[in-house]
Amino acid sequence: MPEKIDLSERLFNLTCALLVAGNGLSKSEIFATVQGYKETYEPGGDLTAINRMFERDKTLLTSAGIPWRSFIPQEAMGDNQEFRYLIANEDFVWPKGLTLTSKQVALLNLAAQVWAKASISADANRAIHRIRAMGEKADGSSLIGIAPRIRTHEPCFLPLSTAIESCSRVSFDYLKPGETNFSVRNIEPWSLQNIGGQWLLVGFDLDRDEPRNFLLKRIVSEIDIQDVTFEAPESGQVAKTLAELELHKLSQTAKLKTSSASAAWFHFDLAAGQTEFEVNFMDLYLFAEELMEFADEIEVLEPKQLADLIRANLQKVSDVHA
Amino acid sequence: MPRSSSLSGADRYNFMLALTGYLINNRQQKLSDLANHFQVTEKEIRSAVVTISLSGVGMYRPDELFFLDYDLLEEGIVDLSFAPTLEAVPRLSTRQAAAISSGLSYLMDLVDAKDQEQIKELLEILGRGALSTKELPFVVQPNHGDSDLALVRQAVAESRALKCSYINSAGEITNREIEPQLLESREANWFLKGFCRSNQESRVFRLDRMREIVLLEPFEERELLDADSDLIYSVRKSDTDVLFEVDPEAFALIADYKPEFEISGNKSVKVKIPIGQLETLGRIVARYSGKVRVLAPAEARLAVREFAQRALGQRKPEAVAE
Repeated sequence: MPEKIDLSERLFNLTCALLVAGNGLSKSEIFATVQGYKETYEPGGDLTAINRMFERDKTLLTSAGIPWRSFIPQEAMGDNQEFRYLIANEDFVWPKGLTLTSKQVALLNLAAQVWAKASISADANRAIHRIRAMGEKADGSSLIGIAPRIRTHEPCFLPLSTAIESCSRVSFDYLKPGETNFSVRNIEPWSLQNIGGQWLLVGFDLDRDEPRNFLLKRIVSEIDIQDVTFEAPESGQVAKTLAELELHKLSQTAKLKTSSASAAWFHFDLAAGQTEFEVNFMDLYLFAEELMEFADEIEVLEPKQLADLIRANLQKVSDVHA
Repeated sequence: MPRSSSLSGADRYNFMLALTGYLINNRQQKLSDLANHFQVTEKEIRSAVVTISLSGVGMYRPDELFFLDYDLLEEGIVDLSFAPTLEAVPRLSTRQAAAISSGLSYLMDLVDAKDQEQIKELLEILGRGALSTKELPFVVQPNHGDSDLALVRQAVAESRALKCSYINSAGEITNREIEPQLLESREANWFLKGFCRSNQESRVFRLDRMREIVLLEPFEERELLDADSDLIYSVRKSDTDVLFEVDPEAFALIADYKPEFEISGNKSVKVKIPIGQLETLGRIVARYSGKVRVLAPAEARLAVREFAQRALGQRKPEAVAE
């Protein structure tokens, strides 16, 4: 009895097999020769399980960034059409001749640590293993004492990222602030953007027929990833949507008043003696939340909706703690 | 010191690819050096190279594709030779590249001009090395132009003390001399952990509560800090255990104050968090506009209610006594 081969070994063997096979391998050749497959392969037997294993492994290779190709050889066109699989060396490797300096490795390490508390920390670590494999040691002497962290505590972050990578349509329930009922959104997801600490999904809303932004924290259901794919957005589309969002922000101004030497005065970095000031905001509800911790020392002069919202929020806080 | 970790599945597969790429260019490596370089245990290195050496596919039998010198391995030296297959380290997957790229752009604000040039170069390399030419699945937009942040980062990097005006959560303004140790971010907020000369103890300062920052002379290191630990929020004996009920939209609170708490699902959770000064609780809880509720003890509920009431009653700001 051969020893059972674990997933990592099977994937590694499959990768090597597809790399060394110049003409590619057919499925039956893979099953017959690659460790992890050949132990259970019986030509002519029931192939359901081994086929399923192969399909799963292909998905795993893709998500690990290992670009396999499949093709039907020219000479076989028409008769026995069997796919052959291979990994082309030029797809596999980093740009040839690339060397990193020790400072660059240190910066890359720190970039990976940004995600230490996030749901993609495993991917960041895998990237670092590949980067270390390029040989250079890290010199991070000037980077000691910095611990930048971005969090992804929204449970929908990973499924949305997966859907974006595979260009799959998604649907989810979205709860707009101030409304009590959620609405179902059908979206072609383009990109996740972290702006000022908030995660935003940029995508094409199929029902409203235009690009829209969604705050991840307002998504109240699981993400339903559908079996329908779409064309990736043209380059610049996401940037264009973000530029519109920025314009929208510039068009919304709040006039605020605080006292000199208050925490708000520190926070908004006001000049000596300055008590009235203006701030642009992207989203009324988010901005109201940002101001809540200064609620006892800030007066909202304009717009009235912002003042009302803060008052209502305070009333809510007071009520639930009565 | 190599971290203890246990690689399995996709992580181990990824690691074996990386390790193979590394060993091609680096013959006769000490086990201990490899463990250090990749930050995994020697046991894992040994197990991975043995697995690699046993990979055999297609026309290559096991031992032919990769040849491992077992005698040297007994002496703690890894020497692996290759048939011409895996020529280099595999490029990063889309998600790996996205994690590193967006981590790097987040660092932009934080490093000096020289490192910024390096980051630009790295982003360009990653753009070439990433699998797809499409948009990255997730991006962190930098917050430009915080001069205080740059100054504090310089103080940390150069181990220089700094002097500033600081407003604490009780609204008291004092002049502080701080020996900075660790600069950490929480979403859009930055925190400085350092030794406060005025109070003769380590404290955590919020950058948006600092003004008039001036760098002073270099200081003698007091103690070494483990940069990995979550130092920003530390528990003291005198803290009060406060029981919170937190809605999913406010999970950020848990990530900030109790990062070890496992959040799963989309339902409200109850969590106990030790809080130092109850009078600061109002500001913390108000921010979530009722989506965080303090359940116990009674004096904590009262503190929150009083904050809300004070803010509701006092919409006109008054000068805060210094």
